[in-house]
Amino acid sequence: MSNEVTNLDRNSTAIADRMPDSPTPAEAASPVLTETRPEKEINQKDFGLSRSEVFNPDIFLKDIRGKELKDGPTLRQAFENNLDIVFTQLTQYQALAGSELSPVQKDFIVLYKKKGKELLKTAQGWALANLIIEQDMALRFTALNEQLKIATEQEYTLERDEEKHLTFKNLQSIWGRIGEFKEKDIPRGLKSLRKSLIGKDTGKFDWKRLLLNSTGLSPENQKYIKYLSLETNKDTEKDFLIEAAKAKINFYEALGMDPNDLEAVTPFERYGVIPAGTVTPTAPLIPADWRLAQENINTEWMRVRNQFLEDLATAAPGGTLNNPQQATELYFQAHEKTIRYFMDREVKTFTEIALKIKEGSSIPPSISNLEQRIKKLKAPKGREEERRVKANQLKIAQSRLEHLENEKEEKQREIDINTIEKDAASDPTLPPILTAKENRINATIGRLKTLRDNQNNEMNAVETRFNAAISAATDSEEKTSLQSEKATQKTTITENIRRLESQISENEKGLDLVVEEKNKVSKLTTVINSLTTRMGDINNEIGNIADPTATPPIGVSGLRKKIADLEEDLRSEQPTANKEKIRQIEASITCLKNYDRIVSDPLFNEAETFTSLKDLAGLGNKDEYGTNYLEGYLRTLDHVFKYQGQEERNKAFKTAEKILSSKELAQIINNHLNLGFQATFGRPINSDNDLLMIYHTLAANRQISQARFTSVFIPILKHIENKAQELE
Amino acid sequence: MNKFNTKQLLQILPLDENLRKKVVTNFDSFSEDQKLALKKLSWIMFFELYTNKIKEEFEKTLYEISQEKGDLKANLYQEIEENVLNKLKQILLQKADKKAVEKIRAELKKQVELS
Repeated sequence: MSNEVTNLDRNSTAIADRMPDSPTPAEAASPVLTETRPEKEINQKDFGLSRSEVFNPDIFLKDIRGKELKDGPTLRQAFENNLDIVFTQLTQYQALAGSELSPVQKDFIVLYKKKGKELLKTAQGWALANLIIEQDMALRFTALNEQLKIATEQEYTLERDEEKHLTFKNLQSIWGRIGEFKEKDIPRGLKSLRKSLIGKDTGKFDWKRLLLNSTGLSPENQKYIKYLSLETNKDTEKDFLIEAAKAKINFYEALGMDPNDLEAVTPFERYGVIPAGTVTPTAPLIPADWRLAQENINTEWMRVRNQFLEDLATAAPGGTLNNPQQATELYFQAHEKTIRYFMDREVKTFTEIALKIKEGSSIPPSISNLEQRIKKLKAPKGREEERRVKANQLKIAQSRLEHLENEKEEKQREIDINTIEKDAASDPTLPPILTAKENRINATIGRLKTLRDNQNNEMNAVETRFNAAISAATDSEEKTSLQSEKATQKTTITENIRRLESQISENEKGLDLVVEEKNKVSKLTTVINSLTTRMGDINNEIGNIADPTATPPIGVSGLRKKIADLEEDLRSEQPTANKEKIRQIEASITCLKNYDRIVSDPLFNEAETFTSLKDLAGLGNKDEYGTNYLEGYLRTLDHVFKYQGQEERNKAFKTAEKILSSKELAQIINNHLNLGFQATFGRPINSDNDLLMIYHTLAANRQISQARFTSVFIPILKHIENKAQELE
Repeated sequence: MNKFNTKQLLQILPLDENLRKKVVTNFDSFSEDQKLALKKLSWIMFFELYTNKIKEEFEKTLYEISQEKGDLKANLYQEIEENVLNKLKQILLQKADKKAVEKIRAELKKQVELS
């Protein structure tokens, strides 16, 4: 069901206006109505009925002839007992291993633990109790049927086709009378069913005749039914069902309803009047007014459940309730949704909200919240603080940029100084040349050293050879000649050795120079590489400050532009992004302050406004403003936002369109008036142009009155308020 | 041209009399939030009242038809809706007139006392 206000949940619209518990300072300062809150009695009106008699639950239950059963419980006690039984049964089942309750059942346990019998202090609580008991009755009926099927599978036969299709809806109707009514009291149409359920006048229940198909229910419900059918005593179950049915029928009587009303599908049927035209009661797309006319048991919960049912039926494949299997499933789902609805709103009633207003203690701070938001968006203090922070960030960024630029220049200089070496170092042929040179010198040194060693050996050989010859010589002249020859040869060898040593030394000096050169080139290469890397880093860093996401980085000029933009933003009064938000919130506040005019004018001054239903036909075809928007849409904006002239409209249109788009308006009208867009067009509203279809549907549907059409301004205003509050 | 506002609506809504008097008397001095809460509630209640009145009239008419005191028209529901709205409008107008007369009376009384 939509969050928008529908015609069926008007009661809850006020309820949905959740209010905080403590007053704001503004509220506290306002005049406060201090009347003591009286002990509240429940009125039939609190149940959504048009009657205003007091609802008295402290009466004894009555039998079918209206005689009080003074030995028995009061209506309140009967409901309390039945609630206790349901609660106990559910908690026992919950304690079992492998059990699984539906979310609604689980939440009921939590709620009942907290509130207990207090639940029956309000009309909402009574409605909820009634719905919970109804749901449990349905499940127990079904469980009994399962028992029956197990016991009599072979014997069981049906006499009439219609009994095969006993649905949840049928069950709702018959609960009120099982075991209570004589045959003559049963309204037409149910006699055969009663016959199959109750043995003639005895009031005795004939379980063999009951068949309810449970396959459409949720897996949790089916599991619970299985538990009930296998683990519980069927006589106890039967007693509970009879007691619950008795309490239920007395509950409806206490609300001023004849139990026979439960049977009639429409008021027409109840009064035996045949309506003009034919309307199928099960069709999901009954025009809203006809549906309102057909509501029989006009309590709030019936309206809510009907709405859920209609929504479910509309969304279901085939969009019909004619299939009994599907009908059971949908009725049960609608019932669970209704329980959820009342759980969420338990104890919230019109009267309570009225009392809160009287006490002035819990008024929702709608307008002041919005005004506060505008103040915050404009707040000079906040803006100053924001500016200070931004200016600081800017200063840091500028200083960082300056530092990096200096560092970059310094590194560039260092690289420039070493240009020659850099060039040399960058010559890829130099290191191998130096190495070859080194190798060559080393080879020369080696060769010279070998020659020197040879000469040293030769020296020793000369010494040995001449000494032997001298010793062997017989005369002195020969000896002298040999000694002289020896000296000559030794002198030559010594000279050779000296020359070689000198050559070795020269080469070794050359080698040292080459090695030194090699080391210098290697060191320089490292330095230049490091400087180049750092330069790259600096460039990146500057780029990243300017725009960390830019690829490649946008560099110094980008950063300078960014700084200029920031300076411009700091000079302006409000951040640009806030200006539009402020415009939207201000427009919304104006609408809320004009609540009376917006709702009242089209209702009471039809001729002055566009909203006349007489004008709806063909609205979508006109486009006198030369835009793609529909005339009706523009007129709605004119009415809600009250533009004065074309110029103002042009100026404010952009803002108004954001607050209430054409698509949103279509959605609101569709939901509020139950136009069934999805069922008709086979898709949800998803474009601005769908408003055109909505206008065509409205123009074709004359049963929607001017007043009901006007009431659509309530959800429109709620939408405008919510949107402004949620604006990020 | 009829202009209706929350203060006038409050005069016809089914409220406790003391509550109605106090809310109407103090309405102008309420905060904008309080006024908005009242406006929302009042208009929702107004449409609720309107719907319930229609149902009441509808039931009554159907009963009369069943007693052969009228004809079942095709636009019965729409006719009832229109009549109910006109009745509510009249009541509102009467209340508004009454209020205006009271105001003039009070003003005159004040003038007489001063002179």
